[in-house]
Amino acid sequence: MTRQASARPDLSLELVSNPIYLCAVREMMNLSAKRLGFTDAHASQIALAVDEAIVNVMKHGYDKKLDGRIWLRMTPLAANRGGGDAKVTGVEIVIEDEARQVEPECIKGRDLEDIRPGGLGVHIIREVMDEVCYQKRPGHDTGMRLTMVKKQNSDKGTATNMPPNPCKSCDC
Amino acid sequence: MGVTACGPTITADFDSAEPAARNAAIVEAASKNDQAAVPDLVRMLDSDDPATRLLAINALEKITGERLGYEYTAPEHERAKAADRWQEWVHQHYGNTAPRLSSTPQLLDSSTSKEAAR
Repeated sequence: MTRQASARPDLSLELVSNPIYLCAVREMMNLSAKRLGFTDAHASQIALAVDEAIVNVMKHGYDKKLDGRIWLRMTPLAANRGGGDAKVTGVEIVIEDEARQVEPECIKGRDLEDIRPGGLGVHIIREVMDEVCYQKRPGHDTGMRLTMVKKQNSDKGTATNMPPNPCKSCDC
Repeated sequence: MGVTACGPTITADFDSAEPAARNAAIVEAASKNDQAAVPDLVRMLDSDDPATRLLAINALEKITGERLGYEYTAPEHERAKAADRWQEWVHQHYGNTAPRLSSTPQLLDSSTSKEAAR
């Protein structure tokens, strides 16, 4: 698989940390994923993961402040089939913010055995995406970066408690 | 009965407008293996909040041993089919005492109110 994450993304979006834009982001991610060849189920999972990630930034990163900046980038991942023909095999999504930094290892999906309300966003993200990586925004004193990968042939999200593979984009 | 996590105490209530209160009711039902809560848990499968759906289907599996093909991450039309199967299951096991989705109060977490709550 050819990783194009360092290349220019196909889709780039900047928004403020206001929940009124969540619906539009969900729809955009869902439709874009379908057009890239993802199944309805996988497209729904991608939209769900992005939604939960952005909600987490708004709630916990910016403490519900409405004017924080959030950046979303989506880059298709392709496998070269020769002759310059590339098949989309997955998608990488990067979400960055300027909110306070936390240690990436502190961002954990809660064990569902520890059932109590709240804090399930990270669990959901890790359950539906193939790779999930939190890191401090490189080169900045503020902000976090979340990198997520969903593969076309993913079997994530159809059973509970399936941990994602380690992220190949960083050392987390 | 309330659930104490970080922050204020949450009052568990399936019919609350607050997602946290509904989630607390789900958690409480699961922890008690509360068979009588199954119809309410099935109602929660229709929630717009994925966390509520996740907790509800896991609670239903814990109490009944069934999932009936329900995936909380699936597109809405697929979830609706699985939720219908759960409704049938409830009627088979609980008879007419169980409320149908259409006759129960609508959950108050439409996408608009959910996002407002966030």
